[in-house]
Amino acid sequence: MPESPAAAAAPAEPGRLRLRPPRERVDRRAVAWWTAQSVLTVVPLLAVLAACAAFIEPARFWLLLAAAAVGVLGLAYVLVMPRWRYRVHRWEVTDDAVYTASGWLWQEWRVAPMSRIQTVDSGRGPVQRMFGLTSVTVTTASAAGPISIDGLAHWDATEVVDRLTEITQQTQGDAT
Amino acid sequence: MTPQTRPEQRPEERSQQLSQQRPEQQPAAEENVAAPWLRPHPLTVVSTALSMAVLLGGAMLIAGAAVMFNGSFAIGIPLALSGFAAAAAITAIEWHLVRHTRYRVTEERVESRTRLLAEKHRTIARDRVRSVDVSADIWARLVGLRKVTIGTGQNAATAQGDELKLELVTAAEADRLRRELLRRSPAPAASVAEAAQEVAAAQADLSEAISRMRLGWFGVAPLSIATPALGVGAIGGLYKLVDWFSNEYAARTAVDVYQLLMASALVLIPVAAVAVLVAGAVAATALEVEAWWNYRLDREADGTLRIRRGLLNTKSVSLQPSRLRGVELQQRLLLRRLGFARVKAVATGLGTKEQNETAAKSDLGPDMPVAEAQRIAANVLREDDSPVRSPLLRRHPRAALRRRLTRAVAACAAACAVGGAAVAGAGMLGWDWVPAWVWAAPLALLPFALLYAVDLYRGLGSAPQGRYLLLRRGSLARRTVALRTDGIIGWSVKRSPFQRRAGLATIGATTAAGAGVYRAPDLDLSDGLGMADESVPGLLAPFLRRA
Repeated sequence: MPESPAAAAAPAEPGRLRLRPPRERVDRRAVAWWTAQSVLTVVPLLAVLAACAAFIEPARFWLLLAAAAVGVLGLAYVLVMPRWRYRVHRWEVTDDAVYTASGWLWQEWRVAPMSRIQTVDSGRGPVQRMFGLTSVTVTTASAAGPISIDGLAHWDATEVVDRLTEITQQTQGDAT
Repeated sequence: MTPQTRPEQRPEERSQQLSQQRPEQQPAAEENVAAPWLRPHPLTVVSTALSMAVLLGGAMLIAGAAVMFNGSFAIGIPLALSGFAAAAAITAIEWHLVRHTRYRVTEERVESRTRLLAEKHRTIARDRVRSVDVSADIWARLVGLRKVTIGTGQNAATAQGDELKLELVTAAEADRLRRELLRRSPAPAASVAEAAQEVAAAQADLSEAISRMRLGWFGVAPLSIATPALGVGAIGGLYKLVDWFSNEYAARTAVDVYQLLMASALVLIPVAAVAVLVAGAVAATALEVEAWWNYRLDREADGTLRIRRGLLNTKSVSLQPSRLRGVELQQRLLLRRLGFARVKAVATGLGTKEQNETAAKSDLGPDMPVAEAQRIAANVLREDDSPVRSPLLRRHPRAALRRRLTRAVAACAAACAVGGAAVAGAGMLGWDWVPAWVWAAPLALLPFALLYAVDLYRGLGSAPQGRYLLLRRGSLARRTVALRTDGIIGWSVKRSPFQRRAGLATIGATTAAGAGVYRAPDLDLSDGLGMADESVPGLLAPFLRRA
């Protein structure tokens, strides 16, 4: 068991605790994947608004105004979100735990001990596949949802899955 | 999943198997001797017939009578009788189903099969059985039968659930199944008669009474914020019934009541409010009495906790101590003032918060005085003292209060903005009946929103306490959870942009039990991480740094 800084910390030590980022970054291609995803969300929305503006004469001004607003926000989203995510999304597998960070505006850090892992899966969505990326999903017995590492290169993902499977097989129990 | 060797089974049925079969060859003949196929009790059909006759038949009878009352016998009579015809048809189907259903408990598994047109076969491995719940609705009780629900307690959302239901068996057989399946060493009884003896012997052995219903506890049932709604519902239901028979009479009554109220509003509106509240109080008390009558919480000789309750519909929930991960004390707004609380089990296999039916299973008792609730909490966890003690909780930082107040103001501002837009829209459309002050109406709610925000903040608290992690939150329903730290199977730290600016974080302890994750919202990041690290030493430590 690694030594615990908190246990070592006497009340005299004033330093504030924070989480260090997990060691590994996801694959650089994830930025392109997230960009593609965001484009696929924003463009249909704009298309619907534009189509409405074309056919509904009386409300054209308001619809175009809405389309412009969506366009500006959407462009910011497409440009900012993927890069921000890439800075946040990180992962780490130690001998004792899986540690991940995800999100961009709203961020989440998750830790699960190896002894509580129930299943390890990997999967690729159609868009993800185009960019040669894979997601690894680690479930525990909790209903809080799985821990997922998105945007790994295929090869890295295989390696992570193998490693997790190997470690979790050594630690038996019903994982609850 | 290993292939099944049962010859008559087709491949598609294999996929219905819930649990993994043992790889050895099926010892079919041998098992048939040891564990005969049993059938549901034939009176099951009578129970179905009774319920259908009363519910379907009764409803259609009233509807038919209403039509006849309004003068149309040609429609009324067939309508009144159609319910009974439908009931008879359903009963006939049920009779066939029951006749073709068999179940058995072998050394390794519980099986049930129904062979009617298609065959339905369900199997649960005995070492995966986590719960055996016995319930009886009023119709089953009239013929003295019980429904047995055998669960594996998996949270995974399997398509067809993870339960095996036996409908219906005798009370003695239900008790035999419960004892046998919850005991880890299987020893199937050869016959029901033998089982009855075993039950009698088992009942003689020691089971410790933890708590019993006291009549006074029903007294607080009306003190719920749902009571006015229940009152409106009860009066509305009565009105609807009158309306069926004569909508003219109902409409006239409604107009009369309305005119009476308007004529002397000052006197009669309070009277009407009281009437609604009284109706609501009666309805709330009736529901509580139905649910909790004859409530008993026992610890059986083998340590299993057993909750039994119900007036018309009875329920028995068994909870093995190995499934407990902590307890929760839930205090609703009004009951909190009176010092009442409800204890809930935080246990695996009781289902998540979203599944309402299963969530009710986690109730260890009705609303009761806090002291009694604490005593139960301590007892079920086998602690000398209840771990759910509020004075131990640490307040969350003031920034958490600021966030809640900001949200209250923002919600009011948003409501005002919607009102303003409505006024502007109405002005453009020329609807001059929309008064201009509408946009300001939400401001009247601002004081309440602010009070709610303050109470939410006062509800926040958290602290690691020995083998437990204490977390409290909520205002309308304040929940204090004592989660056993060895039941914590991970951490989740969430931060919104606002939380990052204020140096706050929401720390969540994930667990296999109860809600799946218990969160402490808006803790100071450093304090929260310290709390997590103290609760489960070693897990978070490698990822922490001191700035």
